[in-house]
Amino acid sequence: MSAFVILSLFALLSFAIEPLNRLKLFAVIGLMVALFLSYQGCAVILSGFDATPQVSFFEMIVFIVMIAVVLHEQEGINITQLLFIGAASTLLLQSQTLLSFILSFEALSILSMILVAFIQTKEEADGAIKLFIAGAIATALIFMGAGLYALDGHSLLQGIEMPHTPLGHIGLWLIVLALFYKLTIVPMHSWAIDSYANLSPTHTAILSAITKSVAAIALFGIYQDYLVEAGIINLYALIVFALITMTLGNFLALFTQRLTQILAYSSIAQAGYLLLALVAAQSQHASSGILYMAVAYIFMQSSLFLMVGVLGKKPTHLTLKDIQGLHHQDKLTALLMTLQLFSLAGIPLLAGFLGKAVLFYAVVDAGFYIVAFIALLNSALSVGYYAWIIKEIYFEKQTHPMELSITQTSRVAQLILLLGTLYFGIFAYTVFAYA
Amino acid sequence: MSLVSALIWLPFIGAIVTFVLGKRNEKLAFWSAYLTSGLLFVFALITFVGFSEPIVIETTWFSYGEIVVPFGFYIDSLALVMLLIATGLGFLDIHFSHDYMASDPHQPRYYAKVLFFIGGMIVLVSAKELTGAFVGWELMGLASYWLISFWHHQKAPADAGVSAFLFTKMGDIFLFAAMGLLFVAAGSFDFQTLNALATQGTIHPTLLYTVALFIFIAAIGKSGQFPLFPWLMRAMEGPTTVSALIHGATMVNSGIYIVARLFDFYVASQTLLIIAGVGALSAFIGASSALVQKEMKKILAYSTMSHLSLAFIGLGAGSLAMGMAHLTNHAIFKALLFLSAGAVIMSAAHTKDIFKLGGLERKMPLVALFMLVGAMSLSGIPPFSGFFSKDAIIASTIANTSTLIATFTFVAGLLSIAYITRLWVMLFLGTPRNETIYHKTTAPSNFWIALPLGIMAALTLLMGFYQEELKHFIDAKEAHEAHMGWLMPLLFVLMALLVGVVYLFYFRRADVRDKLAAQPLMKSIHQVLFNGYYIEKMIFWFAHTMVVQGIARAIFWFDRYVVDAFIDAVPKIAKSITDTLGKTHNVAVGYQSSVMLLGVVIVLFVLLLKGLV
Repeated sequence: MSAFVILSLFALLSFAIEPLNRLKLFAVIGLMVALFLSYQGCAVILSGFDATPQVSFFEMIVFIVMIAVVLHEQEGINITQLLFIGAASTLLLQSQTLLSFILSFEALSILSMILVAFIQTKEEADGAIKLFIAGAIATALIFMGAGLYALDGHSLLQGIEMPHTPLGHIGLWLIVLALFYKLTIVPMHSWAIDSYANLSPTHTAILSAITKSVAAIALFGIYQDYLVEAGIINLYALIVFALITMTLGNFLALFTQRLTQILAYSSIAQAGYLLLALVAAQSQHASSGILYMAVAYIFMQSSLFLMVGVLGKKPTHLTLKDIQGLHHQDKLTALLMTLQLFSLAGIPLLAGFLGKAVLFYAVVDAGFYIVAFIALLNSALSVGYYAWIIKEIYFEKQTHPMELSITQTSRVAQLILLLGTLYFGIFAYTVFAYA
Repeated sequence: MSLVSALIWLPFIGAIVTFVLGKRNEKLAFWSAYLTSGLLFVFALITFVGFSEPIVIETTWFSYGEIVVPFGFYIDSLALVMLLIATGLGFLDIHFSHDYMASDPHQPRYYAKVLFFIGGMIVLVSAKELTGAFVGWELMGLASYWLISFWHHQKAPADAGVSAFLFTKMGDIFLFAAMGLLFVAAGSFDFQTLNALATQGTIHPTLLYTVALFIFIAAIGKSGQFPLFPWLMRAMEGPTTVSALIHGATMVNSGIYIVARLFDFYVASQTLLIIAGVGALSAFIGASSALVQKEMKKILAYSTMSHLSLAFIGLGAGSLAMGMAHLTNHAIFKALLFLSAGAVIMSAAHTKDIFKLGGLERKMPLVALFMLVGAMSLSGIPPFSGFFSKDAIIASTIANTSTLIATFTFVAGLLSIAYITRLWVMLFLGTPRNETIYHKTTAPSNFWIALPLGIMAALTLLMGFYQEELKHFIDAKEAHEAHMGWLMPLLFVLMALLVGVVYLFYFRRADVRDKLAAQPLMKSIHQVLFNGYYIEKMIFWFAHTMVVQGIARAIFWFDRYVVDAFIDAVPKIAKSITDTLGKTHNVAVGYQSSVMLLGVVIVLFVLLLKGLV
């Protein structure tokens, strides 16, 4: 019995439960059971899957965040989709062979598309279409890559081997580029700028926080050995991608007025940091680096998108002007938002700081001092727009009150996410113990 | 193990409990603090009784990669002596506070902070490594700021708190720098390892010298030595019980303790003479300034500075045991003197000026007696504890250091009797100088006020008979001790003479004294001494002209014309970068898909070109 089975089962049963109006409770129970199974280290009983302690730990984190999302969510169909995504995430995290990796990734990708297919506005349609087309291209690339790699004479039923000819290398790189779509790394990022900004914030929270960090961890797990062996040029290529991604994301966010768009750019910039773990693959600290960064990222990113979702009738239309003086209207939300933004900016005692610190340390340890320095400058740049939001919340007068739709359960959800940000900001050894 | 962790945690937990309980009921604050400090003393006592060899606890604070920051505990005889002083005197101090702070409306805050303060000292003295000691050092710095500015709604105490914080912080910077140097050069923070490394000569001599000097500067700040002493006198704005705690039981001892902890390190670093020199200068400044102060607490503050210097000189003259023995004796008799002064202040309608008091012996004979014991110990009259340690230090400066240092030390030691006799005579003998205050004066409670004084007085007397044991306990290998020889009778004759002079001027013929004081030369000397040689003024002048007018102005110019210009340019540059980058984005789906594929093609092309594959 694994989290995968339980979550699939609960997802299927949720169609029957929904009319009874107890879907939230049902989903939370399912996730709790999944959480417990991951705690026990249960793996999917199929060949090609295995649960290392690191993977089990991250599954637990994912399920905790999912519980928060369920508590936050009003729409039943989204909860069902979330359970399916949880099942697919388990598969992707636990995959040990290239084939299981590709199939799980496709499952996650398709489930994401189904999730956003719940379209209510014209903008959401725009976002959904872009996600779908980009996903389709990625799928094409990933299968082409797998094909080339197989042509090179390798079995897909095991982990990655060193290719014999350029064909195999190209194949592996095509797969990485396809994964970049989910990670929103330049040049596979443009869909995300529009999709993240236009989709319903709940969908974005799931896509940008949960599936992205799951994909990052899985990619690192399966590619680390290859990157260490395949030569420095691979790392240089990754450095270029990582630096361009974070710089682009941060600079574009700097002068944006729309709240969801700022968060979309910020999410792209954070993906650049996540990619640094692959750059530092040869450092023994890289695995703790990406794990920490992903843990920190999943809490703060999901919290912020969910929070934006309750700030008004049309959350994706909100600009910085609209949230001016939020502090006067709802002190708790203002504080929560501030703390999560501080975490994203990397202020100490919050998870985001340690995530970056550990990751940058790994990059330095791998010998790329200048890369770490540029990342640091980027991080400083990002404070510019994060602090700006906080300034609007606290130091501006409110012109017209916002239509908040905050419920008790959404408060609880936000507190869970805040606890994660605080806990992993202080008790670092929890993560190190699993890395 | 468990006892040590109890010692470490109890004060902080106790502080929180005290505060919370005190918020419900004022009276509970005292009892909670009383119980906590009592327990602390009992724990320290049990550790002392069962002590045979150093207790070592190794723990790691955090570690990442090759960086390991330890936070261990090491309790040997040296640490144990300090623990007993801190917890024992702390307990008596809290006992005394019951009456002294009785009318204060903020008792929970007071007792919580006092416990926190004692906790800081315990962490400092039990630390195995410099890191732990630094944490305790800073906790205490924070607590001293809180306590000195306890009556923060008034301006003077608030300023005094800031002053104490800044002066000690000045030294702390050097301690932190020393830690950095040590980590790079020696790779260890452990006191014992550092001592061993220094003795073996593994650390480069120049570095050893620098680090020793840096740590000593930190000690100067914390222990109120020249030139970082003015905060010590300003700290008198706090409650007298706090002064007793800072000057007797805890804070000022920490500077000496850290030098003593690294004693072998200091011996190897060749800086002992500097320590002795700074000590001798401070001892002289303190003792001579104490002669002319009007406020009884200021007299005691300068006296603290002078006597801590003696402890430093003891270390500087090459004897760990001698310095620490004087520190121990001083801690007890100074706490006694401060609390006696506190008893007088409290009973005499909060009068601090000794020229407004007098003849109080009739009102409070017990306090007068106990204070006399403290005064005699401070003056170095046998058989009280101060005699043994002070005279031994004077003797060893003559034997081991330069004539100049020895002379300064001798004079400073000699002057002790003059200023303390002056204080005692002015307080207790003669006729009241201010009838209204005299009539308002009431005898303090025997149990809450006189009893702790009596205990300390008894200890002062008792310690006189256990000096050899004390020295041996602190440092078993203590060898040969210098003797003063013919200087001893001379010292006594001069002391008797000084007592006579003071008696004459301040008791019999005050008119002569006033005439003398009216003389221009005497007046200016008096002014110099009264203002502590204008050191504080000089520091402020320096800070103002050099730092504020000079450096700060230069930085201001740089900030205005270079940094601001740059900052003003940044948004423009950023905006243009953003605009350029923004052009790469287009909302059309077809365009986006093309970018993706183009990206793939470019990547593969570049990789192929670079010959990756």
